Amino acid sequence: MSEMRTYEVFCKKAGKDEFRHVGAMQAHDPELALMYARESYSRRGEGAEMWLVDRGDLIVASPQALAQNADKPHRHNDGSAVAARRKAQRESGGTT
Amino acid sequence: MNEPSMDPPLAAVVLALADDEHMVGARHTAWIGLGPFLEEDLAFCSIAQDELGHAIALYEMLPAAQASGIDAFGLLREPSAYRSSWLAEWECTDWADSLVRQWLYDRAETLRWEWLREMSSPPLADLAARALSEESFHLAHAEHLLCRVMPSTEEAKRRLVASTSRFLGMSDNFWVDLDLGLRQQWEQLVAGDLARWGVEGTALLNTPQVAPADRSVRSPGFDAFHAELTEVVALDPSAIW
Repeated sequence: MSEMRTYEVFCKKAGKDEFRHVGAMQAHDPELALMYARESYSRRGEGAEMWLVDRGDLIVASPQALAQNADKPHRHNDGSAVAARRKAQRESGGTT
Repeated sequence: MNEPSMDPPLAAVVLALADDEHMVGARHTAWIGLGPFLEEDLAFCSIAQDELGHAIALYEMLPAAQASGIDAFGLLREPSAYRSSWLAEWECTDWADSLVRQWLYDRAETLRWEWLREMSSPPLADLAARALSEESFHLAHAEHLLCRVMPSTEEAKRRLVASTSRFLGMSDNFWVDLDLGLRQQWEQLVAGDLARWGVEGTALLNTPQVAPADRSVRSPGFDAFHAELTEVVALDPSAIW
């Protein structure tokens, strides 16, 4: 048989749930991948639908590209600045 | 669920199928953790569990098993009281043998379940319908692997054909008294599979028979296998599980 390929497995329960990544597995080709994915990830009715994606077909973002987005604190508003101001006003007896 | 009685010829069919399922399921489990790769390990053990589940469900329908209890009936009968086939009982120490046995056995098993679905009434017919939904995956497993491996290299073909020949030499033992008109269909399906995989099946199907045409005769190695199956039960036969 040919070289094994790695497939990412996604399952979706019936209803409105979204597809979720459930794991990865190896197989020689798409047909065998479907057979083995069924046994590895849906033996107990974990999903009503399943997607397999060959890992080689994934478009992968570089960690460096994502790291730049983590360095923009001025874009984040988690409410801590407002909370600190209100706390300071309460403690000084002021009104908000 | 329980049938108060069962027509003796039908009970003989059910007993043979139940014992076959029990033995082949137990033999398949020997590959847990040893399959050629993780995904195949899981798939093969899943088949094993399905077969053991079928065995339990069939035993539950047999009046004789109801009388003595399923565990005692399944594990503690005298060897000559079992009606399993040599094909099901055979110890496969080679993965190729195990895969070939799975294919030949599930081809036959599917025909027998189809027969039961058509020829019996509920709950047995319902069980047959449920089992057949699993058998389609067992057959797909055999087909998907053998259609790739059989024609892959000369050595693969040589070893798989040798396995096929060995097990086809147990055909008389498998079908004796329980042909139900199915043996011919089975041989045609086997020949069709082999042809699809690039192997001429006629000579293989005429291979000399090596097993007695008598399901009351146990295969070589059965005693050791049976001792293994009953090892825990034998520690304390009066224990309640």
